[in-house]
Amino acid sequence: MWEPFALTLKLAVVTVVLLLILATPLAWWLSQTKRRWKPVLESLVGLPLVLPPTVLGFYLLLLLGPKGWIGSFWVDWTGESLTFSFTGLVLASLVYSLPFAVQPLQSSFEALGSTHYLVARSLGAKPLKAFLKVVCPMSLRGFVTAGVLCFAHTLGEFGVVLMVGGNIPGKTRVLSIAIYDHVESFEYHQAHMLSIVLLVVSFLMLMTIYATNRNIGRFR
Amino acid sequence: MTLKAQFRIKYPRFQLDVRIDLDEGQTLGIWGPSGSGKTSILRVLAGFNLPFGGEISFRRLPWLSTEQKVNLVPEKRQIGYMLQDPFLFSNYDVKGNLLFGQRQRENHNHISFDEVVEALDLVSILDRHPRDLSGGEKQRVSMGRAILSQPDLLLLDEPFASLDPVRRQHLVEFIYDLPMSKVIVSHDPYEIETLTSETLTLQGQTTHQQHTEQAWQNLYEEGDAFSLHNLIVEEVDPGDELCRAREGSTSFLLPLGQRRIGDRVQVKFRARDISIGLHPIKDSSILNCIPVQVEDVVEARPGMVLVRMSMEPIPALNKGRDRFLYAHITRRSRRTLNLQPGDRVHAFIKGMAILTQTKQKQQTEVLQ
Repeated sequence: MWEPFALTLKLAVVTVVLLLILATPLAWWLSQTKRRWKPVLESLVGLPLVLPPTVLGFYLLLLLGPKGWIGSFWVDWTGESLTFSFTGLVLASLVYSLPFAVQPLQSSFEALGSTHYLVARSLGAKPLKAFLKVVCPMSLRGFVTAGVLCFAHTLGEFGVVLMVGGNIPGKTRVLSIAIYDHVESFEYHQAHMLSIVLLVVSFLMLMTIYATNRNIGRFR
Repeated sequence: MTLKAQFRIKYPRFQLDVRIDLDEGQTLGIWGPSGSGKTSILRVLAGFNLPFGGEISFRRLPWLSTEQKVNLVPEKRQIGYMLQDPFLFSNYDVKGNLLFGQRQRENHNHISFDEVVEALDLVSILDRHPRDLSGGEKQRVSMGRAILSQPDLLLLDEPFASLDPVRRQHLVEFIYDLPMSKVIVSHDPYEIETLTSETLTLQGQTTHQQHTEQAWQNLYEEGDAFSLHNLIVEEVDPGDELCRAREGSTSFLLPLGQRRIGDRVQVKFRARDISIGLHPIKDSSILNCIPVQVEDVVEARPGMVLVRMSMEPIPALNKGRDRFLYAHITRRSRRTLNLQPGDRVHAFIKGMAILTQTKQKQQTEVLQ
């Protein structure tokens, strides 16, 4: 019964780690650039926020499927299909949760402004060092928010997973799908158990954000 | 020349042509009214902003050349730049902030940590966090951080602005004794006079560099003293071709030509065009009668004194001190009026020169 729980946790952790690595440079670039096509990129990043998960899942299914661009390449390379696999699920989660990582980071970089970064460089720090030693620590609030939001968002995803990952126990059967299954087969007790865990965890996560932000606020 | 710079800065409403020639170990003071572009010059020198066009070289190394598409990044310019706001790193304590630059440039340590900490009186706050510092303390930490990065060129933007007078005097001496070349932005003529060997005055759209001594001699003795003001047009009287224009809380009634409300105009009031009275006058051709406070009186040419007066401060910006008017009056008038520092008097403005305007090309004209 707890197998979906462990799988979901694994998916969320992997997604958060990868997303923070991918989203940080993207968010920094977006916060600094003055290029005209910045809104285009911002809209692309924000798309998963407004798109129905089934639409997103449908296109991801086409893209990641054995005949899709990425999927066919993956099959050639590893001999395995991306769809209905854990790796495919991670890729889908990355896309699905991208705005939840990029947007808090971008707004905290924008709130900090570029002057601290430039001052660090004027003191002799190379760009990467100035970014890692000054910008990132000073934008800690953005990282906490991004991490927690991505984590919680990945925990609860349903539509995209169903389209891309299906419902394979131990491989792609995540919490929300397991709950749906239990309800479908009138196993209300099991559904309850899983749901309450998800509810408590989500609440605790949100509380972490608000409490940390308050503390960091005091810390500034 | 160690520092050689020639560039153009463009703003939405005006542009500024800058020209700097500085010898090794010398100090350049940049002086001009608020909003005239002093900070922009430092930002360009530091590599924070790209000017519209021009060249900068330091010890023959090109820092910037728009023609050759050279733009040296800030970390390679060997500068220490203290901005007007402290911009401390809140993830380090005071010591961490001070050492940040030194850690990046470990190769040469001319200035010792202890010496700077001592001079800036930071010993007792080394373990403190930037959030727990007062404005003056933050400013000193920011100054120390710039100096300890062991720069070849030190850029200071209003370095003594929020310090008390005793500490200010002490720090002025400390900065004076530092061996490297320096560029200092200040609105305080006395800081410029004590600290710098060269003065760059911002006049309208161009800069004018001269020996500080010369600049001050002109100011005091030759009757060339003047003050520069950025005014915003508030009212227009097309019939009399007069405008009411404001700087801070002080408003002037001036013949500024064809203007619209909201236009910005830079004007210059010469000391010889300003006279002083104890009371506002009526029944006179003089339109501008500005309440001021006498700051000091110095002997100028034979029989003449130069009176420095400050206008009402702008409370929100704490920018009253840089808004001076100068008046040349005879020694006898001074005695008759018994002018002393601190006296509240009225300055009567007879004429002015327009330096920059919003739309038309630069033009210097004297209007009575």
